[in-house]
Amino acid sequence: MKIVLKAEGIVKRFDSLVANDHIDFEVRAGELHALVGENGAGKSTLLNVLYGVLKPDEGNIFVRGKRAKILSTHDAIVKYKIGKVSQHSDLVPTFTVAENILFRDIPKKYRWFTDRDLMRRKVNGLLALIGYRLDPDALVENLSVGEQQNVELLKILYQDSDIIFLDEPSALLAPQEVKDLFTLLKSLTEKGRSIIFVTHKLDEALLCDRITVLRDGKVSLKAERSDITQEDMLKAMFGERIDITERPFSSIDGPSKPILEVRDLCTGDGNRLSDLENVSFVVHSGEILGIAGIAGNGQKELLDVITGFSQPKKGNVLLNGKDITQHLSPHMHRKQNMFAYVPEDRRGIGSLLNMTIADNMILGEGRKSYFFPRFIRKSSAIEDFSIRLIDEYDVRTTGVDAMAESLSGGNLQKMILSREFSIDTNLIIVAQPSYGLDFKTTEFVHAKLVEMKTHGKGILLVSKDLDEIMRLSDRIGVIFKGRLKIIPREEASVDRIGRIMVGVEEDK
Amino acid sequence: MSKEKDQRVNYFPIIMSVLVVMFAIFFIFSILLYFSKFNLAKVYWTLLIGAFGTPGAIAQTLIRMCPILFCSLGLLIAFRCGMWNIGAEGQLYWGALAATVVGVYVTGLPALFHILLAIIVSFACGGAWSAICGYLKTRFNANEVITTLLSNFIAYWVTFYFLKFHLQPKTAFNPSSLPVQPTAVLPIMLKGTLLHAGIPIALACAAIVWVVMNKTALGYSIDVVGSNKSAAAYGGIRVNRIILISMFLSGGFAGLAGMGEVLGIHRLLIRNISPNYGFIAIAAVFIARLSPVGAILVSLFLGGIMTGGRYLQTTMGIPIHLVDVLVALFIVFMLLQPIVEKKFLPTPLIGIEEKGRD
Repeated sequence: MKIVLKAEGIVKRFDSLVANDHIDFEVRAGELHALVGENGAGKSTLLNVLYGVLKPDEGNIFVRGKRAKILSTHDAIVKYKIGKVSQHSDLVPTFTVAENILFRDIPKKYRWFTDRDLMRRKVNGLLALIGYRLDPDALVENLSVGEQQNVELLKILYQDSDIIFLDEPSALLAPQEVKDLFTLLKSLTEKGRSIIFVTHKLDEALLCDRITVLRDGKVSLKAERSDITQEDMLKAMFGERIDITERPFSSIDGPSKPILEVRDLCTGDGNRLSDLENVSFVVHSGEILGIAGIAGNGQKELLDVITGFSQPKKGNVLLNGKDITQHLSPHMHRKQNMFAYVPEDRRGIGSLLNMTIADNMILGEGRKSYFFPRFIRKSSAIEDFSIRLIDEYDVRTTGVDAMAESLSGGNLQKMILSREFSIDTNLIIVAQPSYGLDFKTTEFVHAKLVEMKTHGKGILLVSKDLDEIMRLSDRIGVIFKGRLKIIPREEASVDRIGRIMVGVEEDK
Repeated sequence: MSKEKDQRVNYFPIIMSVLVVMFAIFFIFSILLYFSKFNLAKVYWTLLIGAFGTPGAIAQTLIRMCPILFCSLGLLIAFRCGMWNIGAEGQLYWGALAATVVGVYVTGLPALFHILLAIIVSFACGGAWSAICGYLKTRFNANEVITTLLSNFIAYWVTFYFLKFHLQPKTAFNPSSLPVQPTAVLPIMLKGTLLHAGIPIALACAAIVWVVMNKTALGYSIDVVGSNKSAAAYGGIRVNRIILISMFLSGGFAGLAGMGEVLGIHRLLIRNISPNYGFIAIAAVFIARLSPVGAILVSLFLGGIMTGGRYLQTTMGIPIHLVDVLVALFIVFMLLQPIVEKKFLPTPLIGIEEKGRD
């Protein structure tokens, strides 16, 4: 079969990080090709290189047998007929379906006026081609996410692209919509178009004709669907990682007591992937409970409920044996120092970028009475406290009066950690604590978490990084489609967690 | 944010950039004057004399500074909370209306208490008017730029309604209220001028605002909310409450501007009590970089130009519109000053971002 798109030895570096390390990738005419990998495996980078968003440091790209220089997305679309449906909609929400599809050349009549009839007919023609029904005059903002995705697909078909990328198209879709999408994709490939389906979901990858798996920026598997099993895929995605056995197990004096208890938590109406369904777990003092899972399976909802940002539909949250479900509010939590919380979004939530480091260090209502006795700022105490923390956590900065935005990502995270870990509380909640950090900072963050644990605190660790989970956790929970499954440490292996994460071993 | 507390502020870039900007302003204005066939040196000298040359001129400058300073103090509180309050003009009118009602119809109080009552009531009225927009923001997420901007028109016409149909005596021809009681008039500080006690009150308010914003828990919370609402909520700050408080204070100080005009200068309510002081103050606080000390300096300078400009018109026959051009040039170029300042800053040593893989 003819090869329409071929990438040879693609290398893409970001500073010291090699996102794509000599990747060879090829797509045949008329095939549905799955590009699979964990978060950070290099899928998006490869996609951006092939679509002209990023320039590769090394390597060649061939489109339809000819050497191609894709310098911009415009090149990709117009010159090489490559289209891409991105993860987040690129449509104009206040435009109609037809306007969005014919965006690049709106048909005119009498030279100046828009030819609405022709637009409608063109769109209906496209719709007939793929056997799909949609009102061309409907506003895009009124469509469901699945319908919007189909509009994007139509837009690309109208551009006459026959190499189509879909970047994690199923992330926001309901199960039925995913099924419909695959029917549609199959019909397109039968007409000779090539589709590259980017995903981290195993079951979807297995519906494709051929599969390429990326791990740590390298190709770890390249095969026909019929030649491989689930096992091969899992091995390729997660590797044969050695479970680190020498874990710093703490010897806690006295019996460990439950600190955080979550019972039968449900959120939303259960229609979305991320809605929680009867989640229950306990975090004891002196232990780390790691929650693994692919992003968007309910981690955010769980943390929002525990930290008081949203109300659960059903279920209870108990802190130190006391039911706090009814008076959940960030203000009350913080005022009573109920927990320390290191959020995933360091810049958007965890820090005040255009304020000084000292001002960042005193964030949290629980500290107000100490740093603002009788509401008046105690500047010397604030300065001493901040200097002590930046020394202790080795935050590299010019001083406590420097703006937080001048800090690098790792130092910003250290600043947040130092602030949260200095709170006098026995529950610590951390989300993606080492995401995007270099090796040394990651080591530091992990050491601090273990130190907190040995001080008898209960730690809830939410992370996408399996290595991190395996390394730190005393017990492991895996969240998939809003359901949580707790596994004792002894029974956990990367292999098994990986299976549950991608939904292979849902109910066993 | 203001950095008064920081002892190691490098003043060199600030001074250099202000000099550069001033030079640019006067260069452009000089071209205008040159083509208008005016003697450059004489114009600038007259402007300076007209603004600061005599005790009377200084008094006039300070009188014009007063409402701009009051409005600026109010606005900087809202702006530091991230609330773009464009409604200082309307809040000023509510303050003026309230001060008139208290000044005219409350009788039998000693002067000190009468003035104090007027201050409190006009602060509360201006604040309440502004807090409505704050409430619309917190309750319905209504854009405060739109609500405060439109509330100006309501405030203006409501004030006019009360003036025309309730405050204006039947016999009066022009819309103006009865004069306020003598006990409510702000005392004159300098014989022969209109230099009223509102000016020291404004300066005292500037000091209070400085303390509140830099030295109290409330000021810290306002800065945090203005910096990042999500982070504020994450830190347990009750964001909506802080927004309401800051909007109330913001409107309150603007209300005091109206109080000063009524009780200090006109001693009764007239229809156009403010020549857009509330809008000029918006530019003033940005030039002052949301700092109370800066607000004093900038409003003094603006008051000076406005006063000197009137003097230019009467003595040299320079059209007042040309002076308006000078004010506009000053505002536009001073807003560019932070950009100029960056050119004088030493290059930062840290701040290299780490890039993620995806």
